[in-house]
Amino acid sequence: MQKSNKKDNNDLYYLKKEIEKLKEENRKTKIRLERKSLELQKYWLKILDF
Amino acid sequence: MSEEFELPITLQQIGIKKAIRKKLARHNIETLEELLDTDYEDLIKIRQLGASGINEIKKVLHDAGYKIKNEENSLEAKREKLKSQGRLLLEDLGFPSQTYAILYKTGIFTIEQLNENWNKITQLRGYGPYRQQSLLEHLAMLGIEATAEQLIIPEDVEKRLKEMESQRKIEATELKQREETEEWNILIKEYQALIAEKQNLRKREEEIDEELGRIRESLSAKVKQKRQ
Repeated sequence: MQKSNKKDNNDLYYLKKEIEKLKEENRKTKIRLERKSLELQKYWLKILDF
Repeated sequence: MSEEFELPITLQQIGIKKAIRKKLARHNIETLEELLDTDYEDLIKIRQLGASGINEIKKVLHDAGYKIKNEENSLEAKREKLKSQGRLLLEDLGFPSQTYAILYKTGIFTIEQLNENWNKITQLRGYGPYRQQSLLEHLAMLGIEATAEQLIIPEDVEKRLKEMESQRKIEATELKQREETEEWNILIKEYQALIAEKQNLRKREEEIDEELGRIRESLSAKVKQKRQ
């Protein structure tokens, strides 16, 4: 019983770690997307200038 | 930190009630710093503060993001720990609250601890003849005999108590497992939502990358055309 509880606690710990990792990854992707969208907007404005 | 000393936060500012403030002031505890610097064990010794006063202080401090110094070593925390381990406490054996409350204050929560400290019981502050009588009566009801030096726990009573305790332990383990499963399910849902969000973001990024590629090409073509 002890062993299985320990395993559960470890599983919870790793799942929480994985969630934190995903949150950070998604946060960085959102920033990258924002930057790329602005870049896209800038190019569109240039095209319209022609 | 120095700013905190220049402008001490008063207990009134953090929302401690006047009646409690007056009792604390008698022990020169008038600011948040002084309260946070007071050990839990010292706080519970303050006369007339009582369990409700301690709970009120605990709540106010918790709401403000603080806790009483060494709160984890408090008797309440010890009681909670024993309970979560499935130990059979005096309250579980039907002892009157007035009787077990005084024993809890000295760190006696179980029959085992009561037995170990039996010779010191009569020296406890507030343990007068009325409480002594009540304790002895309740022990007798459980089938436990008390002499001046020790408790005599018959084999069948000990067996019954052990059975009750093992049942408690099973229940405590089951409760812990249920809580872990509930937490696991919540976390799994959060994990799945984050994976879905990650996939959506990736897809969106691929689309933007493609669009960027196309627009760059078209822009450079237009630049070339203009030069010619």
